[in-house]
Formats: sequence, structure tokens, C-alpha cells
Amino acid sequence: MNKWIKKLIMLVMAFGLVMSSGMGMLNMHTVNAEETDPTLERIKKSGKLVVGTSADYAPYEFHTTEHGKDKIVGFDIEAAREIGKQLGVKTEIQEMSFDALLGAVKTGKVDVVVAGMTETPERAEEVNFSKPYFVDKNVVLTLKQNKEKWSTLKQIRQAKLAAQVSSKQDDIAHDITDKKVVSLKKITDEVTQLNQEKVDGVVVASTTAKSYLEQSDQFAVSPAKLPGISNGSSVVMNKNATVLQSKVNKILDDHIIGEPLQKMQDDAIELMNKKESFVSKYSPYFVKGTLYTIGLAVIGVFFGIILGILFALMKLSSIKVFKWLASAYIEAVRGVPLLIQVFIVYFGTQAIGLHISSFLAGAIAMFLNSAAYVAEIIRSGIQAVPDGQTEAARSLGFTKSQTMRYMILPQAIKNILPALGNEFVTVIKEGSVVSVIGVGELTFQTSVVQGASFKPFIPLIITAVIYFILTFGISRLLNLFEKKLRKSDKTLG
Amino acid sequence: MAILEIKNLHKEYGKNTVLKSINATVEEGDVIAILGPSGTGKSTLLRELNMLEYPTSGAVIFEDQDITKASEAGLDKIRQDLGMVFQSFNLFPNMTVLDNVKIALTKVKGIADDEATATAKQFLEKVGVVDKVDVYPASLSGGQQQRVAIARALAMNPKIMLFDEPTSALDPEMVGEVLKTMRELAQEGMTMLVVTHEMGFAREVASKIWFMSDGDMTAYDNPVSFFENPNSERAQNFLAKML
Repeated sequence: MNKWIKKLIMLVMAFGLVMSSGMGMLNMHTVNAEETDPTLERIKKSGKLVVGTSADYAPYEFHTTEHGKDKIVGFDIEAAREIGKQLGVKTEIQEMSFDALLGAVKTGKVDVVVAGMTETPERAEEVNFSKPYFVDKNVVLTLKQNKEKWSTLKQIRQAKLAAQVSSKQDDIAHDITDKKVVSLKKITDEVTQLNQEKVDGVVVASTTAKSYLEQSDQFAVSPAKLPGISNGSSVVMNKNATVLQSKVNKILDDHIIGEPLQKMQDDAIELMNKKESFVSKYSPYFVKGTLYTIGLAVIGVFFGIILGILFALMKLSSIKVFKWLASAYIEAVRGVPLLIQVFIVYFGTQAIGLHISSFLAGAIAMFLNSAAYVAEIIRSGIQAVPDGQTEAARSLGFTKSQTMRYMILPQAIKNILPALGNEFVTVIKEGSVVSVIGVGELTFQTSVVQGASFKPFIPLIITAVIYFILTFGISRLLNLFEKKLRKSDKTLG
Repeated sequence: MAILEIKNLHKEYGKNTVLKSINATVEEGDVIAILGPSGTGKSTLLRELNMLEYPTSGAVIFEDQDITKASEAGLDKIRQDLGMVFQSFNLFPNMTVLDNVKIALTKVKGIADDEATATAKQFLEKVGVVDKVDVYPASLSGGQQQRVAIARALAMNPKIMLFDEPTSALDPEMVGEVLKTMRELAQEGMTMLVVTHEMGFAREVASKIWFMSDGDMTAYDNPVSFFENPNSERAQNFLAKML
């Protein structure tokens, strides 16, 4: 314990040292007029601009299929590619949930965020914003039949509103209604709530509202003029990216704002309205998502088992320190939600200087989590073998470890395997949690399809069916397997 | 010649005293029946002779060595000389009958596989279950399982055999076959300590009786004197109930 605290303190101190020396350099450079900054340096060194976005916000950024392949498109994305081009590097798009974006740019997971994000004083304390490249009004999207009911600001004070959590629209919604605001992660979820009349209106950018109007005639835009009026979309960068900031501002002025952006928007809307059958357009997402989900579960359980065996043996050992460490790990992991563990691994690896992909981070979080449960399964499986077996073996002169190897483990496996199968089923379902860091598994792909198709409900049903087939199929297989084990008990053993 | 000496062996579980400073000697070739009412420490005494349980104090001297103070590795060696048979057989359910007998020969003694197979078969033949070598224990009757367990212990060529209520878990019709095996063993001169409730067996086969009650032990060097003239009230009460 002490050792860890010491390490932590050293880490914090080292961080402080780097920060202060960085500041010192910063000061020196200001005198000579800066030429670069850490983020720009990194971009130049790697030859690519890593752009973070949350692609569920058509026509800003959304998924589409091109020649059967999935692609993130939208005018934000086009603008980001233009910035990359002007900087002379390749552009790489990295997707994650909207509320993970600021963390990603602060820890350096991504170089910039282009996600229709608006500058607010709170955000400006954490990150740097470029000048706004696009200014959009916010409006209240309602159902057509209720349009009259919510046509003035006064009426809207009584409306129940939804908005995307930690967005500018969320702030506005809080200002204009006296009712409690429903803050959700995804626009599609908000629109679903509107559809089901769980909320009276959704505060969205007018561009987004327009796309919903084009998709379906059940919506309408309230004519009420919202205060705070416009929200400009800016490129978001790390606080240290001061040179990059001015470069981006110049690129925006010279190459994006005005006519080029208008064209990008027209292209995006055209892509958005491309007609194709639901199945041919979106089945690749579900296939890909299913494969990722299975992959995550296999990796999670496989490494979970290896680590779980280690922890189980530690917990069963007579050495107090091992026992204590294993118990502490198991209790800690089981006592913290997987969602939080996923974020800790994702941002934590970055903070200590490890650059790993979101899939790898997700897989690591999954198996670190699974290991705790597997350890308990193995421990109880081992303890379920009768003491008489150990006594018989020891009385014959077998050592402790021989007894474990030849008598206990082979018998424990019969208790353990069925429970491990159940763990596999659990892991398949829990894998949905890692969608928050943008791992393209089934749940993630579902929200992609929801966003791209403007159909909030159908994709959910399809996903539920896929999950069910996976988990039910595996449980049936396990049942057969268990029966076979029991059968061999009768005829052979 | 004394092969095993028990000196002031004392055992407490918390506040409960199970064995009260037991002193006894086992001579080579002795067949000792350990008798007494349930819960008086018979099994505990037996299990402390090969350190499956550790005494609170006292010593167990086997071949001039106090095995209560032996190292873990030393004990693994000593236990090979002290065969043990359990009430619940404790065969390894994941192995065939042959492997049950063979595995300690190959893995503990390091005997070559074909030689171990031959030895195992020889002892399975001795206890009369050689026709079952390839089946798993679960498909054997209780009597057969216990005889396999005896063969498993014998195959290690122990100097003493410890039997912990070997027939208590058996159906009545199977008790005889196990006792027969044990009787043959006694006739061959094996040193045996048997915790049992089989009075007939004790009377016919045992050369000595250890009578236990409430953690005390009284040794009778002649079974006849125990059965015909037990000079203690406890022993009289016990015999009155059992016979």
C-alpha cells in the first residue's frame, strides 16, 4: 500500500515538474515568437491529425455506407480533412461518445475535436477553441401535432425538454424551461423520447432539426426564438496547442468558412438523404458489431481466465500477502462499475504515456474486470472438491502442489466449466459498456445506425435479437456440454 | 520392538479438549483395535499419527523421529510409510481404478509406468477387484471401492496401516468382504491400527485393544481381558451397548 502511495506521489511530482518546465519553455518561446507547440509537434512527428468526433449528429458527422463499407462523413469531417490537408498531414477520424471528447483532447488521445462543439466559458478553461467556423441557431424540435402548444417561449417554459448531455443545447434547455431537463447521451435517444411523447421537445441545432424534418413528416420546429441564439462550432484543441490554434484559425478563414463550407454541407445533406434499403445499408454495421462483441468476449474471458487462475491461487495460498492482494483486487473490481473501469483504463493508459487503441483499452478493461469474477468461480470450484481428496492424496505422500495438480484441479474443472460458460454470456452482454469509448461493438453500431437512419427503435430490436441469439445459443451449448459431463459421471466416473 | 510411540499427545479445539495426554506404544506386527463411543477422539488420535491433524502438544515418534516436528518435505516422505484408509474411501473419481492405485507409485515414488502397472494389478488382485481395473470408482459398490482404497495404500509398501472406521459407510452386506481383506492383511503380519465399531473383528483379529472415552485412552494388551473383564465402568457400559 505504502509503496503505491509513494509511486503515486512520485508520479504527481514528475507531472508537476514536466508542467512547470513546459511553462518555462513556453515563456522563453513567447519572447522569440512561438513556432510550434507540443500538439503540433506530435501531429508533425506522426504525420497525421487525429480527429475526435461523435458521429451521431447528422449532417455534422454521421455514418454512411459507401460500396458496402462503413464511413464517417459530414461537413465537420470534410472540414477536418481540409485542415489536415492544409497542415500537410493525413487525417484520421476517431470516434467516441460526445462526453468523452473533452477528456480525449485533454489527455492527448486525439489532437483536435471536430464535433460541432460550441465554446462555453467552462469548456474554455479546460481546452482551446478555434474561431467558430459555422454558426447555427438552436431550435426546439417538437411533434407536428403539438406545434401550436409550444410555439412561444412562454409556452415552452412549461414544456419538458430533452438535450444532449453536457452540450450547449443542454444549457439552453435549462434556461428556457421550468421543468426538469432530460439530458441524454445521444440525439437519437432524445428523438425517441419525443416520438413516444415522453418529452415535449428537443433542443437541437437547426441544421440537425432540418435533417429530421426531411426524414419524417411527424416533426415540426417551434417558431419560438431561443435566447442565447446562436452556437458557433469550433475546432477544439489542447490548452497547450497555441500555435496550432492560430494555424487552424487561418486555415478556417482561407479554406473553409464561406463557400467551401456551404458545399460541404450540401454534400453532407445529399449523402444523408441517399436512399437505400435498410438491410443492405445497415446490415454490415450489425455484422461488424457482432464480430467485435464476440471478439471482446473471447479476449475478455480468455485473459480473464489466465489472470483469474492466478488470483484464485493467490487467494487460496497460505501466504498472507498474496491472499490479501488477491482479495483486495477482487473486492475492488467487483465493487466498481465496469463503465468506470473502462474510462479509467482508457484515460489512465494515456495519462501514463501508453498510447493504445480504444479496442485494446476496452479489451483490457474487460479482462481485468472478468478476472475478478473468474477468480471467484475458480476458488469456489476448487473449494467444492471434498477435503477427503486432499487427505487421501497427502496420506499417500503427494506434496501440496502435486495434490493440486493431479487430484484437485481435474475435479474442480467440472465445477468450474459451467460457471465459466455463464461468465462468457455475462461478458458478451457487458461488452456493450465499452461502446462509450468508441469500440465498434454491437451496442455502438446500434447507435451508429440509429443516428444514420433516423430510426431510433428498429435498430434496438435488431440488436436485442442478436444479443439474445448469441447468449441463448451459448447457454444451450453449455447445457448440452454439462449433460455430457454428467453422463460421463454415470457411465464412466 | 516399538515401531511407533505416542508421548503425552494432547489435542484441544478451542476450549474443547479432545485428547488428554495420551501415551501408548505400537510394536511391530501389532493389530490394534481402537474402540470406544462416538466422539471420544478415536479418529482424531489416528489422524494425528500421520499429521493430517496436528496435536496441540506431545510427540509421535516413528523410527526414532518426532514427526510432529518434521518439515513439510519430511512429512511427505514419512506419510509414504503410513498407509491410511478412510471411512468415505476417498478414491479419486477422475481416475480409473488402476490409476487410483498407480498414480502414487509413478508420481510419488517415481516408479516406471509398466512396473507400477504390474504392482498395482498385483495389489488389486490381492483385494479381489482386479477385474475392475479400467472402470471409474463411481461404478463400483462401496465394498469394492474400499478394497481398492486398501490396495492403493498397500501398493506404497507402508510400514503401518491406519484404518479410520473403514466399514462404517458400507451397507451391511458389504462389511464382510472388507473385513476379510483386513483379516488377511493382519495374518500376513502387517502392523495395523483400526478405529472400528466391529466388535467381532476386534475380538478375533486384534492383538491389542485401545479403549477411548472422553479423550482418555486405556490400553489392553489382551483383547480377551477387555471383552470378558473390562475393569472400568465406562468400558462395561460401552460393551453392554455394543454386544
